[in-house]
Amino acid sequence: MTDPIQRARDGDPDAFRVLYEGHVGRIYALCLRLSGDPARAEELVQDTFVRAWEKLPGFRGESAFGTWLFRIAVNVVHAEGRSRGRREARVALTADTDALPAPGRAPDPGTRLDMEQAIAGLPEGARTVFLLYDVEGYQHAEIARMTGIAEGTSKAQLFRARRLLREVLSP
Amino acid sequence: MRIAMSCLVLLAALPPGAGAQAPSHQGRAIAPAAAVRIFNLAGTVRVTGWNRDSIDVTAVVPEGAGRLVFGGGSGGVKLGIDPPVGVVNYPGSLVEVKVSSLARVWIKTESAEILVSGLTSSVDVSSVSGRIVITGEVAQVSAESMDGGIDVEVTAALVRLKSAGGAIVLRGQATDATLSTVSGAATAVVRGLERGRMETVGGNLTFDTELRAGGNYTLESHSGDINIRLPAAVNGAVDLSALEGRVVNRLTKNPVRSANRGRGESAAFSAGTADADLVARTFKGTITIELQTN
Amino acid sequence: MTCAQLDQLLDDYLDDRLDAAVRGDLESHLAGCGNCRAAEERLRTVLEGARRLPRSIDPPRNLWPEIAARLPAREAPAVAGRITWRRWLPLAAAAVLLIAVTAVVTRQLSRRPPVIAAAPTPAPTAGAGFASDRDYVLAAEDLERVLREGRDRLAPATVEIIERNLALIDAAIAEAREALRADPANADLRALLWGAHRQKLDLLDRATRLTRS
Repeated sequence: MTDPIQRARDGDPDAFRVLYEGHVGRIYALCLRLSGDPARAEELVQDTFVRAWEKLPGFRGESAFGTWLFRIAVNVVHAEGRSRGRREARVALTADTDALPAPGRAPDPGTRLDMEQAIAGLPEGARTVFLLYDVEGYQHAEIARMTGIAEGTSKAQLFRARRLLREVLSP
Repeated sequence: MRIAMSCLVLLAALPPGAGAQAPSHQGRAIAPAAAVRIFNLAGTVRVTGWNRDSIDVTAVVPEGAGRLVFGGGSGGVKLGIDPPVGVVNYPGSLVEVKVSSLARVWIKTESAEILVSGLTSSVDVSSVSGRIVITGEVAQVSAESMDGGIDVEVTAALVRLKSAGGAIVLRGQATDATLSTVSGAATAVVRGLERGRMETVGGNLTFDTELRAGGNYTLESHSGDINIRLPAAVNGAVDLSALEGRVVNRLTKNPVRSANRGRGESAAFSAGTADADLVARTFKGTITIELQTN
Repeated sequence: MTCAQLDQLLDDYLDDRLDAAVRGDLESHLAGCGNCRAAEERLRTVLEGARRLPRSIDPPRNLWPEIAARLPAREAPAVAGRITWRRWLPLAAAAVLLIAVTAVVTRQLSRRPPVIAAAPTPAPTAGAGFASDRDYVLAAEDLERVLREGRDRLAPATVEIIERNLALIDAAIAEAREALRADPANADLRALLWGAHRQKLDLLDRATRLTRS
């Protein structure tokens, strides 16, 4: 079995589907959190994979495929956000069916949904960096490459995001 | 219905006190437009929209049928019956849900029937063999089954109904409707339709509507019959083609012609000013066009 | 170290980026300052909350059919790649036509060229990038293979339903194909053949989804 990345780069959609299935969960989670809207997140995921297919011939493996895909997703989300000029009300996160609390457990304030809603309320730049750094575990240098901002800006945005979240999530 | 009845019988048969399956109950406040996902493989799912920003679930889970799970937050809830592990035949459960009428609801079952009413936003249901019944004024309806019947009576913008062997019935008002079956019959008695598509391989299609300005309607079958019912004043172009079947025109005086080198029949006519198009084609079924009776 | 200075260093402290001397200063301030300990605690809560978030969330529905439908063909260096791609074309078209329920697809559907008016009729299109009867067959074969591999996970009654309906579609395809062979220019026939192919791909797609659920 040859590498699905190689086969997808050669134009094999079956192989690309394998890549899709391996990464769609993380890309959807990112798009959902960046956009704050499940329906738009679905569109953004689709746009991300279509862009990835178009750009695959240029993927040379300097970064992990997942990181490369994340960069495309971040760009797709931001391009879409700019073109939309949105500032629509952010709906609460929904639909994340697999991560729901175990049945029967008492509600646990200050966790999952509160956290998601607080992140959704962050300004765009701060939200992006926070998600990539504190949720996804990327370093500032990688975030700078992914988003096209300077490393220092990434650090500043992270500082800002964490500060805002501290405020929002304090009891 | 049989499943619902068996649930009721089961309920009635349960002894009071120890061992009885008291209905499980769960509920919480939710955002009005929350996403609600419901699963229950066997039994019944009944969802009713109500005028409160909350969700209320009552489940009757017989012994050995698994357990009710309920989780999520105000923006989204997932609930259903987790079936017992490694058991093939287990009794069906009844899941009764009352939820904000604006909620977007997904339901997935295998043999369980699905009954939905009073929702206004979107309903997306799928079953393998369970019956599906949806009523109300709801923006978007999507229902999919393999073998179960689908019965939808709604006022909706967008309707998508699909079954392989089950029969599909759509009644009410819809702007855009697609009904698709393989062997089941499909019936659409719809007003306000601007785009309609019905397709089947072997089922019979019944299409009762009026042609609207700019409307586009396509009906296709391989061997099933196609019955079209229109008002007396046709407003648009009608093109009927049976490649190796018959065409019966009871609506207008336009002749039915021999077609496809004598193996089939066709009829085409247009009237009125609207630029609507209705195309029906079948390989070997009979296309009948006649006057609406209602 | 003042409270304000500590506040500026707190992130680096929790990210473990401070050198030992500064960390020592900071920790001794923390030991004696309830406000700063509370601030540190809040930041830890945020970071732990972030780490606990699921990094993967399944989309509520399968987005692949719509993605597949939008993938433009690529000049592939490998011949095999091109052939496989062509296999997906009809499936992609079928996906656009039959599976999707989103508004986007609805718009695409409504833009679909109208099929068949009076003669002379243009051949109906089966979707962007449509190739041939053969492509539909290859696409169906792919899905049939997936279905064969997963059919043990389906209830026997479900398998029976699927097979009965597939047999009906196959018979229809065979009849339409035979008729089209005798009358290759007949656009109605072609539309019916493509319709039967799409029905088959759609049924196979739904059946294979059942094997995965």
